[in-house]
Amino acid sequence: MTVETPGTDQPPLVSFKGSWTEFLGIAIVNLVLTILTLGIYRCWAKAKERRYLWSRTTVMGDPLEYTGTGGELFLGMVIVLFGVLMPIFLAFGFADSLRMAGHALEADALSILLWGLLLYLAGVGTYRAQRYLLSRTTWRGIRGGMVARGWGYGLRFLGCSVAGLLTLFLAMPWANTRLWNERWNEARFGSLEFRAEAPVRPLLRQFLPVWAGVVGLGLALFALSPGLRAFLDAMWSGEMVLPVDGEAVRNGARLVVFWYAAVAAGAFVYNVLCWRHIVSHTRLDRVPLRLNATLKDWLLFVLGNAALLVFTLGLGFIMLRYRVYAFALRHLEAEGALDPDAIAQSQLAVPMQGEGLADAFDFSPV
Amino acid sequence: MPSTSAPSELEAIVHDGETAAAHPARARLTAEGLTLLREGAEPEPLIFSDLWLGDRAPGRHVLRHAARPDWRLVLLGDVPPGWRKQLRRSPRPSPRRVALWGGAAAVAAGLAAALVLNGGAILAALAPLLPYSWTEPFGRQMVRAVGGGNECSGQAGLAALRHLADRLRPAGGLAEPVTLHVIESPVDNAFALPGGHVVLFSGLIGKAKSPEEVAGVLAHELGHVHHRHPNQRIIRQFSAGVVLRTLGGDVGVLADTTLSLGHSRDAEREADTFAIARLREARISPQALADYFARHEPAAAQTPDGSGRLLRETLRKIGDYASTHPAMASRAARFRVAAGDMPAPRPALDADEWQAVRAVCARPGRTHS
Repeated sequence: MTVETPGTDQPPLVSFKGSWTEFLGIAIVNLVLTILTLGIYRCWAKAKERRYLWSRTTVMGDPLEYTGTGGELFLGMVIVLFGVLMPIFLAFGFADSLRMAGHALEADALSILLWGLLLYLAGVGTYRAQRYLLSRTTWRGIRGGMVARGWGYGLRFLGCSVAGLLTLFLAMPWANTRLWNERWNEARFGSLEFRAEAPVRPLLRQFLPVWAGVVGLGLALFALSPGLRAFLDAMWSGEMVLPVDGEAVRNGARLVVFWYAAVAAGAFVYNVLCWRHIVSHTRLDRVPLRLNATLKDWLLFVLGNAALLVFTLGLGFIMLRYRVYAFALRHLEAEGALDPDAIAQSQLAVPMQGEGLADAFDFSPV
Repeated sequence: MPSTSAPSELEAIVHDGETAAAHPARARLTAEGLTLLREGAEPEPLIFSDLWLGDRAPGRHVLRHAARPDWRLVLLGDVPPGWRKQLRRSPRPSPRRVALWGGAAAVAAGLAAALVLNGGAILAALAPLLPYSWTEPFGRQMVRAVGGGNECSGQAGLAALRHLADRLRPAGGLAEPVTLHVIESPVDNAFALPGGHVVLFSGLIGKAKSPEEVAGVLAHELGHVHHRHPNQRIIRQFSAGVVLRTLGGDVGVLADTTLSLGHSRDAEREADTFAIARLREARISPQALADYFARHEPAAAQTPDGSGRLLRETLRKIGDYASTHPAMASRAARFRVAAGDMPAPRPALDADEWQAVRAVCARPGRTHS
């Protein structure tokens, strides 16, 4: 059954054989329990759904096993809520009272500091979520892990995010590849090492025309449409009353919406390019990974999600976790073979609680 | 029953947790658990109380061991259900863990029950803990945010309103000192903010049919101040609100909204009760406020048409449940009843005062029509 027969048609190294009907059964029960518990059950729901998805994923014919529990996730969330989010909320409140007392400069400084802290924590959360998931993923009794704890990664994440903002997102290829490489070069599965060596230049070359197109379009519209300039003037000055020439301004507003759509399309194309690029420059030991999803696959996926939500009046959201996982796994190619006898157990420390931080920032996709 | 004749020996694979290698083995099922048979090794008896059942799929059961977290025993083929039933589905939790989680769950359930059943009383007890020196600037900031530069400053009108508020004040005084504001806006509304700030929009004064209507609204807002409802709201949002919204995700947001609407309706009833008592004490007829509420009832509900009444009533009740305020009709009825046996009401404001209140937003140099 699970004995590998070398020579003949090699089965795919990784495959996913889940069925959406089985998952739907789990998801409906989870939804009911989550509602009955005012939302608290969602930690246990998440663990159950992951356990199903992992168990239907096979590597060399043997299924993965998810060993995380709802209790761990819940504990992680409680710690983040009381240890991180509440103090930050209070500090924001303190900044507000500083402003009321007339210390505007100090209030602004404190606010900027707090936003920076939030961004830093978002980075730490991403890293720790990956660490938690790897440590709870087991295959043939071997588990994964991450070398570090994410405190340093948070700083790099903060730096990359600020650089992205300051360059009007032109630096995104650099930021995304750098962060991905760091995160996956520190990932392990048992004694095997992941290697991520995504270069910046090819992605930047692909991104540059997209970026230039979107930015150029914005500049051209601004230069050529007086209505758009009038609309922006009205927005910036905070005047709710539009100037006399209403029709031109309305056209300007339409152009702004049109430009936003162009930004969204550009971001979508970039995301597709970026995911393909970074995954396809990653390997586990000597097994190269590849994401073969095309722009069309992505479009169908996103439109399918939208249709699912629209036609179920939103209730279809309970299937999104399945769809994301299935999409990723069905488009993930891994060629080659692992030598099980050579994979030893991981010696990395195992975290005690779930991905509270990432969850708080709505980061964990599965 | 096939239980006695079921296969008692199964093909198996052992993952020892040290490498990913698969070690072929056989498992002989016994009444106490199983005996693991591996080539070149002594038969190893394993008892039910040490084992638990991990993931399973048709023809594949993963057994796990309480003392060896990385060890896996994969049973291949059909496992007799009678034997399988004796396996635990999760690891036996340590007594310390049971005590910890049990205690936490009990405390959480107790807190939740207390909040759901008696949240109003808890908030009412906590509300005085927020000091006036802290809530007053907070409320002032909110007035500024709402009013911008549109705060009205007609001195005579404001004085008349302050005088009216004094008449409505209970003998022992209000819980917090009151600061009255009138903001120029067509909105027909009024509200109470933290720190005793009460805001009336000029639209409400303009549309009022009599000074008694303004007095009724003012008495209601003073009720909010007296019961410290704005403070309760702050505490609610920063405690249960934040916890539910963070721990409960999207469903938590929904739950929080539902609970806060319920609390808000209770607060409105409390403020109405206060208003009725204060208006009677001041000999101002509550009838005007009943008229005000009746005027604000949606038109459809006013037509006394027998057909489809049950449906309309049901819809109204659902509407009541999903709204911040109780249904206008039921509030109007309360004030009408209170007005019924009122002896010799006195006007809320004299003609000059009423004139001044109506002109409170008029700017000097410009006459208010």
